[in-house]
Amino acid sequence: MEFISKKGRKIEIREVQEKDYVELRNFINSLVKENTYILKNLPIDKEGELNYVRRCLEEVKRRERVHLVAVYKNKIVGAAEIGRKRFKEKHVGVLGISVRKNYRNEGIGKILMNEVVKRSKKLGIKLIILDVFKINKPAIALYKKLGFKKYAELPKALKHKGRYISALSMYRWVG
Amino acid sequence: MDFISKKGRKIEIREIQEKDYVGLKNLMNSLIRENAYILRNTPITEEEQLKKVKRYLEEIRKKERIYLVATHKGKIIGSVNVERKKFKEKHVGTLGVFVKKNFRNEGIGKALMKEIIKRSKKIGIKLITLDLFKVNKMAFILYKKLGFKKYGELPKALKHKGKYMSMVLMYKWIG
Repeated sequence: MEFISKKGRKIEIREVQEKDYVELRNFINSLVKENTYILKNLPIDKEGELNYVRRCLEEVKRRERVHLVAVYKNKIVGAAEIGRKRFKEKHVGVLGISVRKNYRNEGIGKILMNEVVKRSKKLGIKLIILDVFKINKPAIALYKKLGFKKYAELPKALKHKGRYISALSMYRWVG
Repeated sequence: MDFISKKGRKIEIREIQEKDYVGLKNLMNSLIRENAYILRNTPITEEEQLKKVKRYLEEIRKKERIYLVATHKGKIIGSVNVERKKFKEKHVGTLGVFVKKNFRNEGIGKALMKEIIKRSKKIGIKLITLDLFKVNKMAFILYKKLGFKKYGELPKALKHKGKYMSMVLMYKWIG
């Protein structure tokens, strides 16, 4: 699907493909370099990224994952994924989302989330959960707007820029 | 280490070895048959368990996991493991503990947990987290006694015996 962002950019949202691994790596390493509110703090190499994308595609094929990317002029500017849990948690999906620095606050994250949630329902996922850095106020505001509620807060869960900070966990029932 | 359980049985607690895969498989499958408060609901094969044990031993070598078993007369009747997270959560370990049905309520779970917390500290883990079925009151009491605090609760997190139920999340700072 395509849409026009708040800043007037034409963004395409589509499923991840194997060839995306080069661009996906650039995207993720841009987030690592920025040291934004993500867990990763080490850059990923080409081989590692290819393996990761292949594993993701394998999971997509088995209907254990939905993985979307947002593309602007052939550049990946955002990604959203939901991985399904197993066994007695098979109805639960874990959501991860990220948007490239100069593309935030123009609605891309919101569209990605809506789309990934819609598709995960088709796999039978009924409960979506996510974790967020407590200091990431814009993200928390977005998740709340999309109907997510807080269910946990873990103190000192993360070490970010040399300091311990809390992680919040949120959920939304979509079943 | 050896200790005498509340029922007077001599229990040994030691690190996992490759040959334990058969005993571990038997322990896990007895819990699955019982449909105890564990996530897994399909039996595990010997082959699968061996693969897991090999991976655990690799992780133990890299100080990314600690895995202990409790044995009685040479048979594995309990296990505990802490898996270290990565990146900005490197100081966090997630704990899982299991005791075979006829060996509960005699202090084995407590001894396993105390031992693994001690060993977790030595590899730099500072925060231990765990999840439990909300209906598992016995476990909750034990974790509280050991200094764990509740930090969240996720409704409908699990489907157990055909019913959705809540998961409780607890943590203990050991740093």
